[in-house]
Amino acid sequence: MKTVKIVFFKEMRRILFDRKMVFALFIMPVLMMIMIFGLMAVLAVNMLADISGHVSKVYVYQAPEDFKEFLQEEIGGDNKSSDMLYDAQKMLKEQAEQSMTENTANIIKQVGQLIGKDAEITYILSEEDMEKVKEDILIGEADMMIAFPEDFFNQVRNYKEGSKVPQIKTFYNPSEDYSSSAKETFSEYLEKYRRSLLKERVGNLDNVAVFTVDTDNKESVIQDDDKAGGKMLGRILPYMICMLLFAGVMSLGTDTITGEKERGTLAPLLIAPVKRSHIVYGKLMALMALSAMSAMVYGISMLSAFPVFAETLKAGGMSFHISGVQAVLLLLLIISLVFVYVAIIAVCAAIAKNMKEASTYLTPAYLLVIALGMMTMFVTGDTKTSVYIIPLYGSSMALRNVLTQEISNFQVVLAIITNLILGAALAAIVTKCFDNENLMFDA
Amino acid sequence: MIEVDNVTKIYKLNRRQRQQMKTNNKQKVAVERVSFTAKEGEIFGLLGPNGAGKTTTLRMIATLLKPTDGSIRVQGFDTVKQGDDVRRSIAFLTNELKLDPQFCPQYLFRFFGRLYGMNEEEIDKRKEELFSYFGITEFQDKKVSELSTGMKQKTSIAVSLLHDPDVVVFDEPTNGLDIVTSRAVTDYLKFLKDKGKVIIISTHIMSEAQKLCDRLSMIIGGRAVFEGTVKQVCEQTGTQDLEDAFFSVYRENVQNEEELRELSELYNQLDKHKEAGI
Repeated sequence: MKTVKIVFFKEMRRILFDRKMVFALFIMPVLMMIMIFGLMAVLAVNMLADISGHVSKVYVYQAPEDFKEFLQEEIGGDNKSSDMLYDAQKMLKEQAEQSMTENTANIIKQVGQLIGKDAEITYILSEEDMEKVKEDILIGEADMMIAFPEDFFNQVRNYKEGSKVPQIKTFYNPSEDYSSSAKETFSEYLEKYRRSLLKERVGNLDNVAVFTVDTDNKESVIQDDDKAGGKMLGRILPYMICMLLFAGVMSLGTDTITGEKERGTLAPLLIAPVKRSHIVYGKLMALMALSAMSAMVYGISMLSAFPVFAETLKAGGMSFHISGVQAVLLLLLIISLVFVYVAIIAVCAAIAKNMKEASTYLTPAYLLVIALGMMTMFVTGDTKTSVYIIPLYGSSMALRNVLTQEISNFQVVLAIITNLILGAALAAIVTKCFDNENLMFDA
Repeated sequence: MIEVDNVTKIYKLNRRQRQQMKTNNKQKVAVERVSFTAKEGEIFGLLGPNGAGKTTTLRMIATLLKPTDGSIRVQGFDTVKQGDDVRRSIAFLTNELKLDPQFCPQYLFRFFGRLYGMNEEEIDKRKEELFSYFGITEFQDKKVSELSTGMKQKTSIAVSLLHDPDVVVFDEPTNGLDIVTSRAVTDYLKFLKDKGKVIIISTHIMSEAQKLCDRLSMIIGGRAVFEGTVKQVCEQTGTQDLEDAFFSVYRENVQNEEELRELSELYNQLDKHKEAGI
């Protein structure tokens, strides 16, 4: 045990006293996370600002006068006459054609215009123009069109029971963010307009309501907030944990074993009167500690660079809480998983004759770990107890199920024991490799 | 005492190694039935050209390689069955054993001292002795990567001797050293000899061997072709010094080697014909 400790501290010192290693292991991840999340946040904010700052370009076909008034009240602005607008538009089109600009909007004969703060409404009358507007919507030059049937006003006013209900048609392009946003806003306006007309017809709206849904039911959403939060975390975390733990220790593992072999610094350890297994365990423990430290740095930097995460959970009506026992089990599960990963990396590193060979062996192992982590995202239904004794996969499932609280303590312990057995078996293989003169001295 | 008894070491060659060596043989006999004994209070030399099998023999004595056949006993311990005991009683130095470039001599000395089970007091005492003898004290806090070849070699020697072992196995200890440092190393080997240690060195510097070695073994093509004193080999070959004696022995054996190689190739071809049923 004393030898294990001596080798452990030497390995820790070798890494932690090396500025380049410390930078690569602990500072780079923080910088990367801040940069990635910072960039993502800036882009997302810009996108939202752009959409909300955009003035929606909406065409209304055969708009009844009261709808024009209604819109003016909703979005503000003044109605303008048509001739002046038509000439201005024609001039713009000619200019665009001269400057060879593509995707320019069609010339549409307008009968009026309402320019508000957030929307620009153009009133049209001909069917030909309707087709032109559809083309513009397709290429993103217009955002939405609302088409009223002919004589809509009279159809509504003179409605008698049994006669046909007039239909308003809307046209938009869901692939365009501006168009989707306009559709959402104007659907609300149309609903409000519909209710105002209905009120005119029947007076009290309650007279026509057969039933309402969830008007004052605050308990509509029945979910365990902790479980919902866990479910969200359970989807991402196993994959993230597996990937970060493995990636963090991959280059270190090859350097500590293959690198030392290549540099000739492993041989002095091998001629010391100590058990090879003690050297192996000292190195594995150092790798485990460094892997855990690296993963912690990743985790902390992710959370600190992404404080919105907790808020997002809260806003979605979710929270995250696990019991003390489960938290301890989760920690033990992660530690046992680190042991397995470190042992896998050590086996590859011990077999490899040089660093290049080591990375060749490690790539498929890394891909396997990522794939198993990702698989947990798509597996649904209850997990059988026997699944937890499947090496690696069982642990990924256990990680997910601890977070979603769909696992018993016994099952977590089972996954931990599986990892310990697997890690010990792999460590024994590493020790065998250290005893093998072909692998250690290329004999 | 070191007793090397009829030791053979055969390496299996992989395809890459066969291509490098331009041979079709799947194995290479590195050492063939080598025997010698090195005793307390003497410096025993292993002489031979590059690739003769000197380093392989020393590595087998140091337990890093296992003999394919035969046995080696160091201070009565078998190198295969009692590896830990052998390792505890020897100092082994070869240029393939490197010190971690990130650490300073002082830290490495303490680290290996602890690994050899010494307490801090013992380590300090030995460090004082060896560092002042080899002049390491002045650069003891510099990283190994910043040291010159001579400084590194001196540090390696000091680290290998830190547990004051009874047996010293040094592979070309003065390789790459200047004349002053070389002298310091050979003087220290004489000092160890006077203390009654068993010392084996390998070298291809004949003048050094002539002055230093009490007895020697000449290894050529993996086989020990002579064992005795410098005086005996000179008498046997009718030469004046060790260098001339070595060349005389070398010429005689290389000629035999070539004959042997031709014979073994003939056998190989015969084997292939038999396999093919011709």
